Amino acid sequence: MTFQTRTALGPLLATVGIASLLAGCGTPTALDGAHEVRSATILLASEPTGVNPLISGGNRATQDLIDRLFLHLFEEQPDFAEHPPTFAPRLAREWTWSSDHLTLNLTLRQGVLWSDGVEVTAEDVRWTWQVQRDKRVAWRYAELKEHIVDIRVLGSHRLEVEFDQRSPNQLADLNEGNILPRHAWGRLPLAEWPSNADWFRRHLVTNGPFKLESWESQQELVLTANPDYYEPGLPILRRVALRIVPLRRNRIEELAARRADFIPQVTPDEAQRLEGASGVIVQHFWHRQYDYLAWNTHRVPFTSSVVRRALTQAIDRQGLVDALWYGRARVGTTAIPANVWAHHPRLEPWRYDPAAARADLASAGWALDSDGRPTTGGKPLSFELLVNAGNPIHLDAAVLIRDHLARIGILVTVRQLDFHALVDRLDSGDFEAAVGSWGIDTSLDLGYAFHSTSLTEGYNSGGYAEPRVDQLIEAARGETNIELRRQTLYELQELLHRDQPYTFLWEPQRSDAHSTRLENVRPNPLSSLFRLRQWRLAAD
Amino acid sequence: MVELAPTRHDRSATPWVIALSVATLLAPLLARQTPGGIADPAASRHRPPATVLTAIELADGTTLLADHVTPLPDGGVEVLHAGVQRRLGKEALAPETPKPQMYLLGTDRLGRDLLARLLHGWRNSLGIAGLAALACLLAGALIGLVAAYSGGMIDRWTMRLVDVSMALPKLFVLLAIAATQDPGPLLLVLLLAAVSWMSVARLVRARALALRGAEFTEAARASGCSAGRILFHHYLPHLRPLLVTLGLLQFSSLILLEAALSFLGAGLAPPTPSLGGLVADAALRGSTSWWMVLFPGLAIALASLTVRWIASRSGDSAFS
Amino acid sequence: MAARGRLRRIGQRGLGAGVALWLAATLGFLCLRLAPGDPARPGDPTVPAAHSAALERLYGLDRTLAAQYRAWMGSLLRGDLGWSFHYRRPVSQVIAAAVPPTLVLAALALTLQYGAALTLAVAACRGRRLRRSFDLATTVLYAMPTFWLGLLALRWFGHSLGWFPTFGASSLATSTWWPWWADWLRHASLPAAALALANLGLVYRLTSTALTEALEAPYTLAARARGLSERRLLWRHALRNAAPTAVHRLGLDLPGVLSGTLILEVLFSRPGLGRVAHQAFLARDFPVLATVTTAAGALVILGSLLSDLAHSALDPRVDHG
Repeated sequence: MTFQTRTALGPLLATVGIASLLAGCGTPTALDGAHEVRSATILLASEPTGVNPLISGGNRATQDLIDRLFLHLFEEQPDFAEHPPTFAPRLAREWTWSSDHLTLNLTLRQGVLWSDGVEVTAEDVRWTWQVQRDKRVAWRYAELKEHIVDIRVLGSHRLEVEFDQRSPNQLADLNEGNILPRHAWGRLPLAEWPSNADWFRRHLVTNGPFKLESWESQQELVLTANPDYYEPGLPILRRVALRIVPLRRNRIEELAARRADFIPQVTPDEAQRLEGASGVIVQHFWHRQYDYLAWNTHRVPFTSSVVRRALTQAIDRQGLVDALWYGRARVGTTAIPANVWAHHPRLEPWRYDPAAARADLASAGWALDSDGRPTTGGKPLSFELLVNAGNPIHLDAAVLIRDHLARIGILVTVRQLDFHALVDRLDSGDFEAAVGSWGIDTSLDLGYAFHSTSLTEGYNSGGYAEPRVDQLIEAARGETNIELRRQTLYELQELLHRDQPYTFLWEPQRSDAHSTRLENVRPNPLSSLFRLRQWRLAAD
Repeated sequence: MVELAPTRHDRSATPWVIALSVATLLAPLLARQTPGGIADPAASRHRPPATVLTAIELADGTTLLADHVTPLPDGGVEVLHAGVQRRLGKEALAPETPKPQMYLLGTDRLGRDLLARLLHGWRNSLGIAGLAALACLLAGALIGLVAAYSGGMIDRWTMRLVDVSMALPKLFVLLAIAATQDPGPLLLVLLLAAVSWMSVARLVRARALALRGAEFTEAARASGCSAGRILFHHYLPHLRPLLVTLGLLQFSSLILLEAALSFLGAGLAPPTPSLGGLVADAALRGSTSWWMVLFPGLAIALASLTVRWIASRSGDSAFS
Repeated sequence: MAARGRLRRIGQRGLGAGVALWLAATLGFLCLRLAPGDPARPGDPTVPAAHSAALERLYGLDRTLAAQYRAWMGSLLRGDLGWSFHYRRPVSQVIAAAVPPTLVLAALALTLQYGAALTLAVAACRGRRLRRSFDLATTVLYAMPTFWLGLLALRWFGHSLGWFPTFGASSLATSTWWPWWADWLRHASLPAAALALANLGLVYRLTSTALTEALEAPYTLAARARGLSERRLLWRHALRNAAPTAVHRLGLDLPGVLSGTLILEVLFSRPGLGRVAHQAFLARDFPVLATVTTAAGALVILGSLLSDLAHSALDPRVDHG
């Protein structure tokens, strides 16, 4: 061996030696000693933005975190399939309505403690409501509380809530927003709340099933069980680590290798892959969501409902579902998904019928020219389809829709925009067609997208305005009789079906995946981490 | 020692460059020979390389892509479609005969032929990188020449600008600017050139400085030639081999830079295919197949290597 | 005399660094002003109005362009970098938290890159065939996109074999039996190795050429004739003459390494300046985008200043220029 090889060998051996030291006996699982400490690891796509629900924005990860730390008055149940959802007691132990249903008498649970030992009282509830409405805090959901006139404290654990009108959503409105600690957080002047997210983290006082033990920025948060939590025996897990892993691929592979325990929201093709891996369970459930193609009804040719119907018939929506969802979605027909109690059961989806589409277009003045393209006044039919760049399924859908419409000679340009740019274009009405999705809540107030006033104040970007629809929306808002409300909503859905302001594309399932290590995981449309406090290890 | 005479080497690069350009421009024509469109995504998605599927036209205008087709005596067919055996009667079929199609490099998530997308992406990516290299070469050469010829303050400050610009990491700058406007192809070319001209300017200036000290410059100045004439008429022929090599080397680097940019989502926007975008499409989603990552990556490496090889055959031996 | 030359050189480099920082800051300002719409008001309605108001005051958007530029420079010097829309936190906090992981990754990648390149260059001196095969291998590696090498490394060594962790810069809360520095190194190993492999081609070539030249130079022949052993020749003379080339190259390589860390941080879900920049790009978070470009540039400038000093320490000839 000449000197060159030997000198080269030296550093080479050193590098290999160090590398093998570090690689060691494989990666320890993320749960070292996990059998002694009952713990689980959840992988999140994005980092929560803070611990104060009123200033931290509405992203899902943040709300999921906050819901583990702070209690609500009630717990909304996922039983909205047959009737509007019911509410289970949480911080509020029992409640009664006055005869006119405008006053609610609440009794809070005794003995629920904040993490610094102070008891949760009615003062906290009242103060939380005041802060929620305060303009300086500028909570984005403050308008939900506009029908609550006053909250009066009758005792250390008794309250009276007064509403100004009867509506189906009174409890839901009251329940919106976690109860916050007055004695701890009341110390910061309200005007300084929006700029001081860190202050709340440093002075964190919670009453929920978990406490926040540590938060390493952009990497992971660790929750530990709250020993003073009021439900005996809960939470079962002692430690939950929330790791932030933005890249989808990483999350899937980590779960497939069983180095993590739970991932919320996997796409259908990822679900296929995970179901093939041993030791992983994927749960699918119908979500309260529908995806759609919005038409700008103020732009030619989408001004005519005949044209919109023709376009709906030119898109093979079942084909889209087959291609993109692996059977985990159904073709949409209306703005209320099929698993919600007020869904119209008898609407027949418009079938995929290119011939009928061509005929309809011709009847609306778009006759076929020599190239086979629908044309009017020498101009062939073409438009720009906007898509949210952050939603890969929508982008795929747009590509397929472009292909379907090309078969009948319509030229579609797909343009992807980042979310806020897209919202800007929609709000200003500067678009022709856009793919979007709505997750609906249990209020079933369809005004956000279809009422004519929502042109300026809501999300009716397509500018759809139909007087009868307006009437029906308003009627359903105030109607407290379930059957009457259902009938009103049925008629509303029939009109939307006829007019097609949206082409309703599909209603998806959502899939959450977890390892077989965990049991009693029950994700639902309310939250993937629903009742995290009841999750347990299968080995126990 | 300064090469004052144009060497013979630079001629051997030109035919290769032309060949590459023609191949790149014509690539989409080749793509027409491959299975096109998205006829039946549910049946053709995630297929490995060298899959053969038969396209059956149906009477209602749609197309079925089947794995096996068995003609039946009554005129219908029995097909294996998306894993399911189906029987189609004669009346369901269109008169065209079923055509087998080969997906040479496999298919992607939506059932599109990867080879077709690769060829289109090759043209888009190499087109952008090539134009950017050209722009970068022009800008860099101009600045380098002017700096070298002017000397003094202009030279010093220009080189300071060059040094300082080189210190900024390219991807950060590109991401920051790309966030402000969604870059179309033209803006992308300009952006890529704007972050790459510096090394060209440096090297051209160094070579031009040497020329400035040569005798023929004195002679030209003495006979009253204007600066422009000296620069373009006299210097350029000496610089040509250097410029060719530099341009090609920049092209090679820009192919990689454009791919990285498209990979991050800041380049050509989907669904326009680009080589980096194809890799991102495959690799950043949760489920992927190896051919969707391998072939586009190989194509990028191949493109970069080829251009670098052409550069090594050209002009300046100092850079091979 | 040498000391004065060195001081002058340090002064010049310091001035150059200052100018470079200024340019980086100006680029940040440009990015802010090129942003569509109002850079203080994002499209996201959930961002607190107080943040937008604070940004408006900071950027001075109601004043002339020149006044805005002065305001921007002033705020940078004060360290008040505005509010991030995406993170809902001060930008300075976001960037301060992101610098250490990037430094670790960049330092490890540079060490591996130069170590491997030097090793290969030394080994290549052995013979022509070995050198040719190394040349070919490193050229092919250099032509591969960094993100592709990173993907392959992630897939083979991270996901399939499980030898290295595939996300994060550390997992201290969940794996407590590594000492903290080993945990950091472990997480940085795979991305650093990928980056090193992608970039070592050029350094290898330069060093190998310099080594060959040194080994064939007259003084080496003279030394060999005097009876010096090959090993001493290699280490005392050839390598020491080739070293300044490598160090000089280090300064030039820094921007490329930082661009590489951006890609690898995205691929390996590591916190760091690169990931901050990418997320800010996706979210169109302009306050962060403007500042992170400046921060990355500042890191490079500081790094190259250090390498310049090392270069002049290694090669005394430089100071007298």
